[in-house]
Amino acid sequence: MFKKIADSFYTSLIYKDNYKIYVLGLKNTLIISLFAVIIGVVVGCLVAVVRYNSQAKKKSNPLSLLCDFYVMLVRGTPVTLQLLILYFVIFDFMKYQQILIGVLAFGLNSGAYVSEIIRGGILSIDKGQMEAGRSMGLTGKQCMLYIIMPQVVKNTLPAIFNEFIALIKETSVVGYIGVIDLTFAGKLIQSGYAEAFLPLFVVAGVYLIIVYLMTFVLKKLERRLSRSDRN
Amino acid sequence: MCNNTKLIDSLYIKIYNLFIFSKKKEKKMKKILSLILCLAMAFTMSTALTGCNDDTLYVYTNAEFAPYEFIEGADVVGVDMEIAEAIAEKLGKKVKIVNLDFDALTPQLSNLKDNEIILAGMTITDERKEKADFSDPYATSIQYIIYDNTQSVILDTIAKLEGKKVGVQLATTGDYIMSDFTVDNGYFDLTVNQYSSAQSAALILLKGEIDAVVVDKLPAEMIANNNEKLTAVAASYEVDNENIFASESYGVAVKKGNTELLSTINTVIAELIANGKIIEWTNQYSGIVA
Repeated sequence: MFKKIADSFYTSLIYKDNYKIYVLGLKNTLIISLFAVIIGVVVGCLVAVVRYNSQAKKKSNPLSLLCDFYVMLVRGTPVTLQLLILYFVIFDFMKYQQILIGVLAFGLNSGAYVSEIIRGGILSIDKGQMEAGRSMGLTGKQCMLYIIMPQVVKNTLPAIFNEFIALIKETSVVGYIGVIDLTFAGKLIQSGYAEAFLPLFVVAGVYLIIVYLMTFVLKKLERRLSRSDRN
Repeated sequence: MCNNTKLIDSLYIKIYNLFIFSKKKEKKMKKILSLILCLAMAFTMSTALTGCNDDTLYVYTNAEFAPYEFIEGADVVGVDMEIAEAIAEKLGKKVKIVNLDFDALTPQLSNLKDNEIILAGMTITDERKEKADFSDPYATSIQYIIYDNTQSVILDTIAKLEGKKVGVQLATTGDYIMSDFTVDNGYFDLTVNQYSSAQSAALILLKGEIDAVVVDKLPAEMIANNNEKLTAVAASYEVDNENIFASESYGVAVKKGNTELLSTINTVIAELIANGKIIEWTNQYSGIVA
């Protein structure tokens, strides 16, 4: 039994330097997740503000309609399909930059979800906050930036981090367009060396560690942000 | 072909101008936006520069088909990759491997560019020939049945598979042939389960969820060698005195009408067959994994 596990450990990690493919996979997973998160937050904030404004004024403009359409489109289709459509159809002219396409696909996907989280966060802030700021003589934009947004960030932090964690795990479908990420690396070792279980557990362990580290960061951030809380 | 970088650059400049020279100028906004754009641009440049090159031969493959292509360390190796290197050397180009699922290679056939080839142990069939041009065959194979030899009923011929569950690799010859097996087509009924690789089909077979697997000869033999519970035998089934599992040939796929590249590839393949290199590589790589 132990011999079998040791053997399988040897073939799936050490034999022929097979661990290198996991390292490559981890690198690609982290690159795609990191840049996708950046795109997601930027796009998400912009879309959220645009949609919130049109909602507050009870009037839609072309930009807000576009944002509505974008959120509907992204949330209405699976991320795998979005990835394949971007790769095979829209970005066919740059199809060798698969990592970049992956970043764009996951960034845009995440943007829609982040925008909804942030919009919910803005809506959850009491109206009085904006009114108080306005009567102090701040402009609407300043109120948004200095009064509403800091509170939104604090309130939505757990939900946003949840989205980041989901995003990291969602990137596991990027193997469809030929990027060797963690999951695909495990699959390649699995099928190349007839190892059924160990590559899967190695990959699962690495994902677990990444997510654990993210949770750790979230806890630290929350503690820092709650310093000014009254109780 | 190499306009990608320029195109992306001009796109960035346009977006940048849009924000920077709009009526309301906000200094902070400008700073943040330019920072983001710079970051994004640096990222694209780094990927674009490594990815875009005129003297590169892009080789599509699916590295789950030992001994023709599989992963060793962080590289794709195997018989097909040696052939790709030989072709690229002849053309004076560098090889860049694009590793996709095998069923994603089939749509790629009709979508090939001049500097792209598919080398994935792909069998030359009439359907595939309509979408792309194929080189002369560099290897032959037949379909094998893999069965569980610990079961009471030994399923070592196609005729015994009536009413059974058969695993195949998606979009391979085995898949095409087995999926035709229905009463309406003049055969008998069986259930076909499609998997993304021969290896995963074999793993499902070991779990007992399917009764047999039909895949190409060499992968089948390697799977059987690696597992004492599994045995592989050649498949044959005669319809009107004609074996529908006749031997098949692997070829290199190139863009339809690209005769220049095709004739170069054919020369290289002829050389490699003549000096025995292909057989040598096949033995070498079969030994590594088995």
